[in-house]
Amino acid sequence: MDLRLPSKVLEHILSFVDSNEDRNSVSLVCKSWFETERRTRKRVIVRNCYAVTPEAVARRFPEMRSLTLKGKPHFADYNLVPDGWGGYAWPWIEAMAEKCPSLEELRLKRMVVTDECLEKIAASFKDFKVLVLTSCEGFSTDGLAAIAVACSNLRELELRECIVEDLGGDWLSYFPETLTSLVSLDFSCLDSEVKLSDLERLVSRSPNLKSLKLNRAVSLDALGSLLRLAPQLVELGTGSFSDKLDQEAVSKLSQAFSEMKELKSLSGLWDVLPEYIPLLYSVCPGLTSLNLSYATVQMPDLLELLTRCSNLQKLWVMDLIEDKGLEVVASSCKELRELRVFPSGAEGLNDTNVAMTEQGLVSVSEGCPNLESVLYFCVQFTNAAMVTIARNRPNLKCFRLCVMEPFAPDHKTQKPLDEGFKAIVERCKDLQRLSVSGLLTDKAFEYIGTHGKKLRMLSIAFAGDSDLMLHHLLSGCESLNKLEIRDCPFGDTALVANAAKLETMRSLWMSSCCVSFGACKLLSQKMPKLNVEVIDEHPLETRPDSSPVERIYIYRTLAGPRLDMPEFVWTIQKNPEIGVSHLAIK
Amino acid sequence: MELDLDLSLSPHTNSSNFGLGFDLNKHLNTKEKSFDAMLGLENMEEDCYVSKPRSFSLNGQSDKEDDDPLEPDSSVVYDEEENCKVVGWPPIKSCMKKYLNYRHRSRNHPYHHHGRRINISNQPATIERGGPLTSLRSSMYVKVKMDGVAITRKVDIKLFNSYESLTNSLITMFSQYQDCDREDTNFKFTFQGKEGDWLLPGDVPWKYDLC
Repeated sequence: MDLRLPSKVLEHILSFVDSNEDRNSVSLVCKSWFETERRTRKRVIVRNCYAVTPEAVARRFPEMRSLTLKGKPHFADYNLVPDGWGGYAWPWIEAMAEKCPSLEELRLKRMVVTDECLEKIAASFKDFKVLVLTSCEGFSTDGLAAIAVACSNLRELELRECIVEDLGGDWLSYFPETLTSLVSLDFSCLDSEVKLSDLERLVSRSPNLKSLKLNRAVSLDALGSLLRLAPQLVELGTGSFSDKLDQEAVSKLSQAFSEMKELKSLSGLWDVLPEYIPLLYSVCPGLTSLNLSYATVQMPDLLELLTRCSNLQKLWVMDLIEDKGLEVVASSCKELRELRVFPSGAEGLNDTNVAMTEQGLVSVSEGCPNLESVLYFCVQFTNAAMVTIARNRPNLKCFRLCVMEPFAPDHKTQKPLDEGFKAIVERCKDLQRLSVSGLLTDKAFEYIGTHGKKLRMLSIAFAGDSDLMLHHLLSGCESLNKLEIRDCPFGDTALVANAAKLETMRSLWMSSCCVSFGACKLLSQKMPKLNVEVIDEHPLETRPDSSPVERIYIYRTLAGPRLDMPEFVWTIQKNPEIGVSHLAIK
Repeated sequence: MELDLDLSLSPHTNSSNFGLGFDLNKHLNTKEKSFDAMLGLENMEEDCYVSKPRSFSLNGQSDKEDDDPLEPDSSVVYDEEENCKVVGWPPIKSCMKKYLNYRHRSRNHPYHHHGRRINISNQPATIERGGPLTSLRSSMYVKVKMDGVAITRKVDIKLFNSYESLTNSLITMFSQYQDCDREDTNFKFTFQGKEGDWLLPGDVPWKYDLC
């Protein structure tokens, strides 16, 4: 008796299954479920563009409408991955253009996107709607013009922290008069000035515009007229907030802000002058997200702003907020979920004039019951503070502490910060992401290995004493998915002993550690489903096996060795004849 | 999949002292003792933690002639733009770094010297002894006293690349406590050498001063 559900019925049921995690489970049930699922999946996410080939993805999901891709490893954000390493969007765009021409949405993160890519998108996907590029590079404003002119149903164009060759602001003028579908536009990372009249016309013919993030070149005066044209905005990123305006212009701007009843998210505010802070008061009560990373607001102007933001859920701010300001956040922003505090000093180093210590974070952990995500840059920290934070907030999901001075101990007891991080992983049972810093011994990692059972991503710098550290992590953290390590004194033994673990993870990055060339070769030979990439600017062929390598990036893949490796990336496929003469394999 | 792998390392290796058949789970307390013995630090108080020597220093003072050819050339990759700062540290994205540098360049203003004297005593504030570890230490705190100011401050001179940047920072620090406008004051900078004699900076190049 055939008990299979007719595929039409299954299709209908699956149309209610949105989450990809669930869909992945569905596809494992049996072949017919796999087939039905794959034919109906619309949103595909590939978190490592080298884990699988574009052709395989296109073949499996022919009805794909939305593709999300991630390229370079996270540490590329901090210049640890040399230029030319990889992460090219072109092969994906080419494959999709051929096999999935109905693609509507493309979201790329840390990838190399060229003008040719953008032109190809514009030419190939007739119903293209969404382009979101995060931390991408390789294209110019000409590529943007190609998208603007051709994509007649464009809804979202967002450039988040991209490095763009800026050839001028003309690209914006290429949006045709017929384009009225814009919902989101973010060009905050560009330098050049766009033509204000073209921007105003674009905004006024976009009734669905909900999110607008301007670049710094858009003046305060221009902001006023734009806001009057789009009072319905939910997200606003202003341009420069420091031009001198006359009284009339100021009151017009104030009026414009007070008309914005839907505004939930505010960012930009470059170089904001203290006298303009009151302009924002009218929108503060409605804000759920406030990004002051580029706003050099000092105390006490910050206080006035923050006390009015009673519904704030997300706050990104510079350490100019100081401990006092964070106390105010703790008492005023009871809905806070995410806090990021960035350094304001030159090069991101400590500005000794800023009175921000661990106490600020302790206050917020006390006052904000929903706090679950923290990124905190601080000069020094203490174990006691972390113990208090953990006790106050066992609901933390993401805890990224960056003690800016490497190897800094607890500044009150001079002891390592082991006990502090122990408290964090012990109490915060749902912790998924952790970044550690400061002086740490192997003990800290023993604690993390023992308690960090839900930990998925871990970032480590300048820490630990020996291979034990890595061994604790790889053998203890069951959910570990991404591990990135820099400048820690270990490698081989722990890596080789825990090789099987690496197949259960998305990726491992180690730079400036003590991993030998021999260990890399051994791993490559034993683990064919991993790509073991040695990224080293010195030639490897003549190296002895014991010599340490600069960086390794190991990731699981179904695609085999990649074909676009530059000369400074080595994998065993490049020199298979380099044998394992010094290595004993049991 | 149970893997039984042994890595037989060549005798010259520096990466670890573990031999064949090493079982990581057994090797816990013995490690620390042998490490201390290696450093000759048996006299240290038990509670005091000494930061382990690393094969790099933040100020890029590694001595090229002493490099073991099998050691990593440099565990730290140096940024071309800035003189000898650590690449990618602190971990903030380049757009934010760009903005912070712009902000600081436009804030800096020149100052003029006249008047007060700042003395730096060469007594390190931490317990670490001098010697071969010194240049590899991550921080080196010294006491700084200014004429007319009761409070002595501690400064980590490892964070600075030159007398100029140190002077600049000291002036900022002390002008916080004084009513004087930093532009009006003229500073003379002296430091106490190992023998206790007072020296003027500039006699000795910056990097030797750190030893």
